[in-house]
Order: sequence, then structure tokens, then C-alpha cells
Amino acid sequence: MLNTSVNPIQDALRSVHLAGVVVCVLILGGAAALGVVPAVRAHDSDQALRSDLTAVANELDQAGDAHMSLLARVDALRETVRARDVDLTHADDVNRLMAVLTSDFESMGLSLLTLQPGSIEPASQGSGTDTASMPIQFSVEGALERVIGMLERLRDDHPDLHVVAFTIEHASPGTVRLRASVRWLVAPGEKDQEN
Amino acid sequence: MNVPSAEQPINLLPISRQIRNARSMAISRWVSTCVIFAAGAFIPAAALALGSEDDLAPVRARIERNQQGLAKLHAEQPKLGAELVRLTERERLLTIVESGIDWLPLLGAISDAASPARFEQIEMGINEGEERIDIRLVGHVETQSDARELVLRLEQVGPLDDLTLNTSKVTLEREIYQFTIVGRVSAGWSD
Repeated sequence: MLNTSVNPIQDALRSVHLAGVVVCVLILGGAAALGVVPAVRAHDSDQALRSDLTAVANELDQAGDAHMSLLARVDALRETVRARDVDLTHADDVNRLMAVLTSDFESMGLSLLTLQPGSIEPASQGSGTDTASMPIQFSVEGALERVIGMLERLRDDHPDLHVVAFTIEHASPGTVRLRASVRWLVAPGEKDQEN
Repeated sequence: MNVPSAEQPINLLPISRQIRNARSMAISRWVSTCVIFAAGAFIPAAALALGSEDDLAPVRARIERNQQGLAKLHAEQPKLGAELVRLTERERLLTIVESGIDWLPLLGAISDAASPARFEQIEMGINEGEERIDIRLVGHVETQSDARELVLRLEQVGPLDDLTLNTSKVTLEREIYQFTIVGRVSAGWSD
């Protein structure tokens, strides 16, 4: 015989089972909210951070390469300058230079006739160079070999003195006269800036 | 009303009591189930959440280290740039210093080509406007052809160019020819 009547106990337990299922679903939802959602967010953050890391690392690499390249350029230039360096003196030291030249002429056995410094010429204004210079005129007399020796000495010992023009002429038997225009390259300094 | 069968035990408790007992038992079972279910769900979830946070710390630390490195490089740039400018300027100055003309090879070449002529005056100078060296040689020779040959020999001296000769006869103790040779040397001959 088919029992169609409702079991009162089963009927009473239905709400309990329903509540149990709801609580389980809530637990599942809570667990998802606590674990899965932060994990997904963390994954997104991780992706963003790794992207940032890649960008910063690339920037660092590029900056590092540029820095190394600049450093190498500076080192190479420093080495070049060290190897070729010449002490340029300031225009204020003109009297000391005159004394040195006078001493050089005398030590070479030449008679100094004139030695005349001019006015300082600022960079790129008639001096023909990009640095300040001072024209100096001098004339000496002596044997031709000594005059040539003097030109050699100027070239070797005074690289900051550029002979721009000269005349060698017969003065007397066995003696020639050298008249020279020299450009003295001076160290950049206050006087140059004032001009 | 249900009629108990012969196999079913006969429950003599009133139905209301039976319902209460069944509810208590069901609630008790569901509570146990929920506790176990919660433990099974929350513990892995918490571990997942905490674990994912832990993973980001090394990445953040690397980013910070890289940024510090970058800041250090950027901080050094101005000093290095200033040093580069200073050295470049110094090198430019040295190039100017080294650009002085060495006149001696030219003098030597002219001297070698001179004989038998005798020079009275040798004049050389930089013509900055024209970017060349102007040369003027004054001397004397025995004959006109000596003067011409001198010019030909001087033309063999590489850098000398555009030589022009002027001669004039001079009578001192004997007849000689005074010459003036004017010429130029192109810029860059000494490079």
C-alpha cells in the first residue's frame, strides 16, 4: 500500500537540513572571500609588481649602460689629457715668462734686441684661436745655428708659445737677426672672463 | 497514522518528543559537519591568502633595490657630466696648444734647396684670413738661370705653391742678381 502521508519527523527536520546547507554555503563563500579573492588580488598585484620590476630593471640596465659608457669616456679623456697635458700659465705671469725667455736667449748665446708683450686677446677675437692669448714680439741676433736652435727650443720647451710669423735676415758677417711674432696661449681665468 | 510493521521497533514516545529528539540529533550532526567543512575550507583559504602575500615581498624588495640603484646613478650623473665637460674643454685647449706650426722642417727644406743661392732674408708668417702661410725669400745668385733653377727646386719642396720670382741686377764688387721669391704654403701641410 502506498504511503502518501507526510512523516512529521522528516517534515520537522527539513528546516534543519536547509539551515545546515545554507551554513555550509556561507562557509564556502567565506572561505572563497578569505582565500581565493585575496589570492586573485595578490596575483594581480604580483603581475603588476613584476611588470614594475621589469620596467625598473630595464631602466636600471639602461642607466647603468649609459653610466658605464660615460665613465669609460671620462676615463679615456682623463688618460688622454694626462698624457698630453701642458701647464698653461695665467696672463698675470707675463713677467715671469719674459724672464724665462730672456734667460733662454742668453743661455743660447743670442743677443736680445727687443722683447715686447702685447695686450691679452680674449678667445675668438682676432687671436685666431678659441682661447685667450697674448701676442709677444721679440728680436734676437746671433749665429744662424743658434737662431735655429732657439726656434727648436721654443717648439720643444714652450708648447704654449706659437710662432705665427718670423723673419730671419742677414745682420752682419756670421750673424743673423731673428724677428718673431709669437702668440702666448694663456690659461683660461678671470682676466679672460672679464674680457 | 502509521501502523508499525512487525520488523520495526515500536517507539512508544509521543511524536512531539520524537521530533525534538530528531531535531537535536540533526542539529548536532550539522554542527559537526559545518565545523569539519569550515576547517577544510578556511585553513587552505587562509594558507592561500597568506602565501600569496609572502610571495610579493621579495619582488617589492628587488624593486626597492633597483630604485635605490637608479637613484644612485642619477645622483652621480651631474658630477660625471661636469667632469666630462671639464675634460673636453681641457682636451680642446690641448689640441689648440698642439696646433702650433713647426717651422723647422720647412726651413730645412728651403735651406736644402738653396745652394748655390744665398739668402739675405727669409720671411714666413701665418695668413689667418686666407688660412695659409705666406713666404718671402730674398737673396742673390750669380746668374738669372740660377734664380730660375732655385724656383724650380723650391717648387719640388712639397708644400710650396704659387711661387713668383722677381730678379734685378745689382752691381757691387761684381754683377749679381738679387731675387725675391714670394709664395705660399697651403694650410695643413704640417699635419
